[in-house]
Amino acid sequence: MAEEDHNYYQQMAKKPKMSSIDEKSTAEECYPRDSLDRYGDDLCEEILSYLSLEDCFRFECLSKQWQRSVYKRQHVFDVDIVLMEKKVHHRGRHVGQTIAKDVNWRALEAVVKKCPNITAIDMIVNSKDTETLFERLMNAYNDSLTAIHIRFMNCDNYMAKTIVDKYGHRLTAITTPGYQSRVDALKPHLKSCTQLTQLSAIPNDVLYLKLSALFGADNELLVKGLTHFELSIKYENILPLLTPFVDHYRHSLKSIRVSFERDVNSQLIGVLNELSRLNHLRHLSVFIKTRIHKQNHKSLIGCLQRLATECKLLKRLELKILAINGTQVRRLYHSLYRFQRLRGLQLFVEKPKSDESDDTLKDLTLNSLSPLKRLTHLSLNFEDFMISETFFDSIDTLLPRIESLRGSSGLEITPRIEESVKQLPKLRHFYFSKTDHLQPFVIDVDESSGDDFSDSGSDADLPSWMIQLD
Amino acid sequence: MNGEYSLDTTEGMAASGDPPTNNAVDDYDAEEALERQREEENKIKIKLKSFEGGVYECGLTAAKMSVMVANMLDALQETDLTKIATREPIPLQNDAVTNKALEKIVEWVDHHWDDPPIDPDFDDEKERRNEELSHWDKQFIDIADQGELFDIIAAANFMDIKGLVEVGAKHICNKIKGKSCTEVREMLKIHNDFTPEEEAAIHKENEWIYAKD
Repeated sequence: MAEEDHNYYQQMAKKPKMSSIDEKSTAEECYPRDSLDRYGDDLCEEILSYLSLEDCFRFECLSKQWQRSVYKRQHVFDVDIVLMEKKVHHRGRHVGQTIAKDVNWRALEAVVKKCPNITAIDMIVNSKDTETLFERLMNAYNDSLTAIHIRFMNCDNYMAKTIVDKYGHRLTAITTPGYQSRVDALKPHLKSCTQLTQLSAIPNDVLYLKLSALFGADNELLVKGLTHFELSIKYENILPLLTPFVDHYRHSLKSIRVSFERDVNSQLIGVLNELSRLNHLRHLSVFIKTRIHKQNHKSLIGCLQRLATECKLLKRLELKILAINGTQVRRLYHSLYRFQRLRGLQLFVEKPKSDESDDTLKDLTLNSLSPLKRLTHLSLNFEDFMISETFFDSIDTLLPRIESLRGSSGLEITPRIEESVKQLPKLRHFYFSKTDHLQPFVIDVDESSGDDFSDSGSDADLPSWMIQLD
Repeated sequence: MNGEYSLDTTEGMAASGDPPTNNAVDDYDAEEALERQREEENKIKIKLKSFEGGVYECGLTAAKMSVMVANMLDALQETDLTKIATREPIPLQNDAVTNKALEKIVEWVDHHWDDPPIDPDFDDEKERRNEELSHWDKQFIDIADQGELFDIIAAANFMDIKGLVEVGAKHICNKIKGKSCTEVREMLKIHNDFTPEEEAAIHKENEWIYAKD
């Protein structure tokens, strides 16, 4: 038996299942153990695939192996590499923020020449130059591109319209401000955007997209293949459009962000109930900006319950509610246990500005969230509310999978809290701070990104509205 | 990798316009069951043998993080998993799998065996690549002896443990980020096989990148 096993294993091991067995080590040449030269090209490529595009160009000259490996697995065109700072002057004075950037055309040529395996582009179009850059990239990587995300920022309607008219059928994601003239300019071309999976508003922009942007004359749904959409609701009654939208998307939409700008109370419950029919949602973000009536608050808890039972695939839930009192937060918090399947949960609650009552949430514990045992990303922004120092006790047994823990409250982080959090075996990020209105609370955006906009999707647990808080 | 929530199902359902089925529930239950099974299986210990002959014990689920080991075990078609525990140690025949390397690898899979499977609904490939290493992984991979570090990465690659290769790759790339070419060559002991002329030519081609600083 044992003998058999041994032979068997040996046979198995000889079959190279692996992508790369260290070719070089078996070759006649002998490389020192502590030299990266010992690796075959395959492993070398794999390691270097984690370099930034910029570092690839820097390190190409290291050796012949690096020269042939370093660009192989670069699939995303990082536009920043060909953009140079352009100082913006306003009335003769230098303005700190850079809006437009110059394109280094020579650099572009070099990147196109050396990186043949680009499959994804994600870029901002905000000037004639960036428009030309986009066209050049579309031509250069004509056949290989599978993901094209274009962000129209500070660009005029005509430019946006021209691009969508010409390349609409290839775009997979569009980010744009949602003001009426822009929507009107793009609308006639949306129908040709058959590959479009994501339509979103600009992060932190006050001009969100309305649902009507998706509908043509005769209330015809123009874009049918979306998986991600963002929508804002102000005064208009959106239910007449929302129902056909949900009817079409109930088995395909994966992610939606809804913000209630005004007049929450007449529509909130109706809209949320309608959304609970989207039972293939993976990601739901609800942002309520105005005060919810008392009677509606109870219904809100009911809606959440319904979402939890209907949207069984939901993996990420974000709730941001401004103007909510302690009792309501408590009720909300205690209703979250129903979302057992969540991997990411984000709660943001804020007292109404006028509310001076000294609400504390010291009775809250993580026990209430422990049924969410798959949670890896948790963000709890209690803002001014005070929580107990014991809140984080035993977090490693209650929510053992937490990788990222963020948030704020009226509580100072004490050694006791740090000690509890340190026990989490998979922790990557811990940013929990005391709310301080003198120093605006800024969440650390992924360090690897230099640009808030091009990165708005990359920080796993951070939606755009969390980045900038007053 | 579990692709339970495959897009295909979704699209198929959308096309047929069926009322929502209980697929989602089943998927969740199946996942739960799988998790329990993984937990049970990890209590079964199997033995792995390094190239140098050292034998190390490791939970079955943890060991299966190595696609190579998983394939070898699958091919045994052993229905009684407890019997696997009594078998001869599995030999790992690549000179990178030293005693030290295998010991570290077992430590890594023992810590990571219950990681949630990569979930396309939650993890985005691009995000994951840019994600920082966890505190634990950082400490794990911060190894003073570079030969040992390279052994571990090569051994993980040989054993096809993607997660660990990624940890190693990120660690190396982090270390060289922002360094000069000379510094990187020195650090990773890379032999410059370009002639001075060739190297100068590459530098000239890539001049613009250095100008960015």
